[in-house]
Amino acid sequence: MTTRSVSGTPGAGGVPASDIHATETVPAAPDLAAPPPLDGVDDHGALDQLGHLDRPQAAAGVEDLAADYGAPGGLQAGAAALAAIDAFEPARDAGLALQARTALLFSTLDACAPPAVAGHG
Amino acid sequence: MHAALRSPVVIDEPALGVLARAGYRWLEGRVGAVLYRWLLPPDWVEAAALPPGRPGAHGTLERLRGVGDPGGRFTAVLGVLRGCYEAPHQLLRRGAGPGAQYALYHSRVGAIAERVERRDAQTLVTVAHAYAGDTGDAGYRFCVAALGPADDPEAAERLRVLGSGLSLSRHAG
Repeated sequence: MTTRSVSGTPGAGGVPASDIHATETVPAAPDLAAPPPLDGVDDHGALDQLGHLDRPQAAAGVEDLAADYGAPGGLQAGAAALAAIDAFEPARDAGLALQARTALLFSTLDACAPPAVAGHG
Repeated sequence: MHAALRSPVVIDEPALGVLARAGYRWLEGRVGAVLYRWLLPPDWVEAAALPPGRPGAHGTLERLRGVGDPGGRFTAVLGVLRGCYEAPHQLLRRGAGPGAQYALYHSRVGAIAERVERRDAQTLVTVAHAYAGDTGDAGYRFCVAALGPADDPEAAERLRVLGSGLSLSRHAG
């Protein structure tokens, strides 16, 4: 596993990608043959890319997965740093274009949900 | 075969500082006992109405937020599944397009899986966050989908930040 650090300054209209990856941890790539698909799972071959990582994680309890998921990622900042960021309420957009785009994206998330999940809300 | 696992996005304190100076803010909300804070650019707008959930064959994913930039280039949504004990990567295996790439990592409160793929001329980033927190796994799976142009070399990284920039904690109230 290797770690590299990148520094930079924020741009006026956004944040350059190099700034977002302030620290990037690169897991070692396993060099193993892809396992056969799991029974009952139609992943269209896409998860072949997960290689050997997929099978033990699929069988493990969720409580064990965090340790198996490898490198830390996402929001790793401490509570003080998180608290220093202000909350905001975005302006509301009543236009149909944004609603149509959000509907499309929610449909992609719907496709991820397992059939057995009971509805709430 | 080399597994095509992407490097995870890491938003540590220096990176969060950079984002804050660029104007990023939290969009906050509560789901049951969980407080979520979603890191977003300040000029983004929120859809005034969200489409209803679709109970049925895929269960119901609660719609929490739908946002986008004013120019309409980027769109992102946040939803949550309750009572779901599947691992994040198991959720993302469904509906994956050909050539999708994955990252598996863990935040301070649970496992995270990210899927990045191209849909037509756009990049779609989908991220599933398991919330274990300090109460064990209560079956919360927060999911983000973010869509943006594929022809912008920095767009995919910004979309990945949208997917990863979610803070989950136990609600104090």
